[in-house]
Amino acid sequence: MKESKNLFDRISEQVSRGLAQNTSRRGLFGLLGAGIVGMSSIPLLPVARAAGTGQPQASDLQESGDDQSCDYWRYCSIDGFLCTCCGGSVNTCPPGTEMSPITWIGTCKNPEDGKSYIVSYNDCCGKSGCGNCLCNTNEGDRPMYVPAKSNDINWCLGTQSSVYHCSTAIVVGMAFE
Amino acid sequence: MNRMFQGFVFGCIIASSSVTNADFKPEPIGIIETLPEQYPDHWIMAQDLSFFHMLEGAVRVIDPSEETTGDQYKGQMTSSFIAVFEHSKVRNEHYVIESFFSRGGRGGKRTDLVTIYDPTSLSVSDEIEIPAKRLTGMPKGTQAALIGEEERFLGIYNFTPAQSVSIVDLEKRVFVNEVATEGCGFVIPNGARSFSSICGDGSFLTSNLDASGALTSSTRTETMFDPVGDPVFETPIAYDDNAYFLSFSGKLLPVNIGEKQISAGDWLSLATTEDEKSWRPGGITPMTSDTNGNVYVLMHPDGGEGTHKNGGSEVWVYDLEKKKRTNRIELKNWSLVVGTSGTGKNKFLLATNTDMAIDVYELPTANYARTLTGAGSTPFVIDGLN
Amino acid sequence: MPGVDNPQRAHVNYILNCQGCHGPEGSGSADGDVPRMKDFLGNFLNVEGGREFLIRVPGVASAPLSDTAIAELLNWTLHTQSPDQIPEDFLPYNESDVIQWRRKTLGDVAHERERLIVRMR
Repeated sequence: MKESKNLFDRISEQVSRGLAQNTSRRGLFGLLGAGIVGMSSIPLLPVARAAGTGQPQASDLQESGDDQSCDYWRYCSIDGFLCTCCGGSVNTCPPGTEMSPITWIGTCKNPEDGKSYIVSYNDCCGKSGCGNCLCNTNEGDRPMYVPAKSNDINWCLGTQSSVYHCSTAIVVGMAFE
Repeated sequence: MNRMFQGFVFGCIIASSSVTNADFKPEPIGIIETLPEQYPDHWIMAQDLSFFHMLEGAVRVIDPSEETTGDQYKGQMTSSFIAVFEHSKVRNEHYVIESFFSRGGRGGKRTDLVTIYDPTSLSVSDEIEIPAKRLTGMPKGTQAALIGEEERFLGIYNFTPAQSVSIVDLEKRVFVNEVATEGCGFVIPNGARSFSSICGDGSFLTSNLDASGALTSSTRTETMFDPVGDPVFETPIAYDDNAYFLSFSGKLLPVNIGEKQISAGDWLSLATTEDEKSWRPGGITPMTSDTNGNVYVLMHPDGGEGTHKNGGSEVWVYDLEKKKRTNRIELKNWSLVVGTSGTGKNKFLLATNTDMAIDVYELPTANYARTLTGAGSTPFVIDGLN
Repeated sequence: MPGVDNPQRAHVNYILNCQGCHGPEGSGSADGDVPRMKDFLGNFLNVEGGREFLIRVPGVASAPLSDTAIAELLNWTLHTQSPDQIPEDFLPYNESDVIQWRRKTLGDVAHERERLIVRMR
């Protein structure tokens, strides 16, 4: 069996191998597989969508890649549905949701400039799960007894509603070199 | 024309049968099935977290020895919002620790409950309201635990992000109090009336309760592992007086969880040769055990930073009695979750594959037997009941 | 900033280890039981037991940082988020303070905080 980057890559891989024929248990994975296959068919954009749609972005941050894909650089340790696929963006929540003020913070390397940036993975809350673009990457993720470094926790905390909808990846600083 | 002919033949058959209107007995309406008071020990409780629809989780009772989905499926308990399941052997009760929202998916008032199910009828026999602050997240066996040999108390880990454990008295059916465990989390039972929590600096905190469930004393150990360099997964295997924790690098740490004192033993390595050192444990539920002291760990090759939830292509078996790795089981499918059930002839290793179906392997041969497809959309935890 | 060798390093350590719960400005979250540090943290230095309390709170004591880095982070946070509450005779935290108090963990943090806040009045 070939080793792959993460479990959802693997699911996608299986779907593309034709497991979709087995329709009796395809409910979830038909959906998930379709999402991932659909995502990978989108050509890589030269600049992240966030920049193009007038969303706030850290000053002078040069980015490339597809921010609706799990392998986008900011998502090096994200667990959940990408807000970029749910009506939000990398750093904004979808309409009618509420951004959690409490979250965990990771560090990702931006391939554009080779520098490491600090990413705050604030969750958007108050609507049931978005269901699109499920990702699970775990660079620097640690078990839940190290909460400041754990993406397994539902971070819809300190919000009116603790129902999880999707996750953002907000660049809040540069790592100390 | 053809259909008319079939109808004619069918009519003749009925007419020729011995049943008459006078002595026909209709089938009774309204009968509800029940389950045996003690389930066969190879049955499993498959916990579907329903990751895509978190308010719609379920715990399913499944017989993995049967051939068809219909025969495998015995019943279900609904479990709302990434719930936690516990079973008390002493009390023969099921517990679902769950959350409800007065406005459903958009929130509203949150109510956290310990819902008590009767295993025979699978109906709710009681509810105990607890503070609406239990940790919600990916499932870990230690989010809640029965405390003490009498299993009188149930501890539930809270995270707001302030950390504490809610204590429920299962005999009196009430929430008793909240024990602060700041800096530490999870509930690992030990001793007559105490539990330990794992702390962010790699130490352990033990909280001792009195007969009413109130905190009497607590003790904190020295650091026993490196929570950043080589952390241990949240859920240990309990065997003898030890809790065996699995580290990201693939070593077991025996922690003697005595009531008075906690001490760590020497690390045990799952890898036996140099070639095996690049293999790492990983998954959503990466480790389980059986009643004979065998530990089963999901392993993947070429592991490294960030691969600890990847699942694996093999399950490695470590015998805690012999203190050695005894087997490498090559799985039929890449899997993310492992569990075991049963004893003797009906003993199984179960693995949720990436299709979210559960592959059943017979133990001790580890021969693949069948795949269970009726366990829901995301069965992230599989519990045997022994 | 007294007791802060490298403010940028201290700020990064704050973001990585504290900001997730306490927020970028130390505002905390009432709904999440996260104490506010902004315009308040320095008050602890004015009461007996307060200086060591700030080392012993779990977020500080358990942070994966060296004793020196913890001392720098405490000084930076005090000066950045609560400068007006710092007493004039404040001696910046140093490595030996952290060594002395870090392993003496607090049992009930919320209770101890309340006790100290009562003393501030």
